[in-house]
Amino acid sequence: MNKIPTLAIALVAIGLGSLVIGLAYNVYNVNSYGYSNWQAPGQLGIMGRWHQGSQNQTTAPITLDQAKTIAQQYLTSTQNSNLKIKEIMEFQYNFYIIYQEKDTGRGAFEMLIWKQIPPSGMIGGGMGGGMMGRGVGVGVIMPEPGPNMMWNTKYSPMRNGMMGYTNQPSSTMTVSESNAQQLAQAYLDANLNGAKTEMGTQFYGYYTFDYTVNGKIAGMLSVNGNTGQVWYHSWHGTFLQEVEFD
Amino acid sequence: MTETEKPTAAFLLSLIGGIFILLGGGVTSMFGGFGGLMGGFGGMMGSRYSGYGMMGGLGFGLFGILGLIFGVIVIISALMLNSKPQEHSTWGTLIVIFSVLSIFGGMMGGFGVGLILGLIGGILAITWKPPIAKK
Repeated sequence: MNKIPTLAIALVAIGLGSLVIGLAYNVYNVNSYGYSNWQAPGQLGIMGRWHQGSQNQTTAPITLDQAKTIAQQYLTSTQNSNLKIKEIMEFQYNFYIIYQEKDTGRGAFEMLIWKQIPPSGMIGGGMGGGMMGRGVGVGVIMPEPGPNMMWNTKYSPMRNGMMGYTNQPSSTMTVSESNAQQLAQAYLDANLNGAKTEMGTQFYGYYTFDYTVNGKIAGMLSVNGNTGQVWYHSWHGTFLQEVEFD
Repeated sequence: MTETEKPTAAFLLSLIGGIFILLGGGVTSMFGGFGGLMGGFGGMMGSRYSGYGMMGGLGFGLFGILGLIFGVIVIISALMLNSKPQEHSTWGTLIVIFSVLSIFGGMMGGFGVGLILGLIGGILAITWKPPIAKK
């Protein structure tokens, strides 16, 4: 009988061990956060987790009160005492939450809670059937896609060396807030007749502005604080109401 | 032992397969998140949001790492197969196992190519018969 080389045994142990650890970790995170996150939450930063709240994921639309509860639970789960909820906006398809830094007053990051299944034409085929392989993420709080993920230099899980993002959060931006608002307005003038930018929130690396049509809030868009690029938030649907927090 | 006494075809196929699996893992770990997001948005001014793209963007870090580990194991096994052909069954088995497991390693086992090449190379290694020594 041939003796099995020690190296072969070690390779099998390493390979199968890493596979088991990976699968176990994935299962753990799916159960904990409703999100198949293969990296440690600490490595991803605060935004790197999705949080399902105390209620089970459901396909029924959730209410503003439920959204407040989920947002508050998420805030608690961050274990960051310097953060607070600035506002929650209810849109047709989701709740939009701004988390703010207490000491700087600056916007920290943006989160979404999906309240219903958006039309397939709006979101493509993924959200309805593909997200997490476990149905639509209704009631799950997750980082807002777009500028919040790609431009946030402090809280985005993608800033750690990904695609040239710096490891050092930058608080300075070359584009001033007034210039950013002008860029946002120029975009609206070209694409949404009659839309007007309103108050903005300064985040790390970008600004987000609400805009109104006929004096009523209609949506929002973001402007990169260094390149001036504009990113329209196309995933909200119609604005319904908002609640501000002290 | 001469070169012809080695399972050269099995070695080469397994080595190339391992490299593909390694590349697949590397690409997944490096660009999986970014590509997933951009795939979901369809550009800076994207008017579409895709949860599938989001999923691709956020969950593939460890898939890529697994791909890297499995790729390295297949490559090491291929090299060992070449240096110690008498242990062809052991190394061939490892190549087959980790080529199949590379499905979990992102990019479907090195773009599918790594999986297939590794599988063929591993089977060739297992079934390889050393030449009968002349007396």
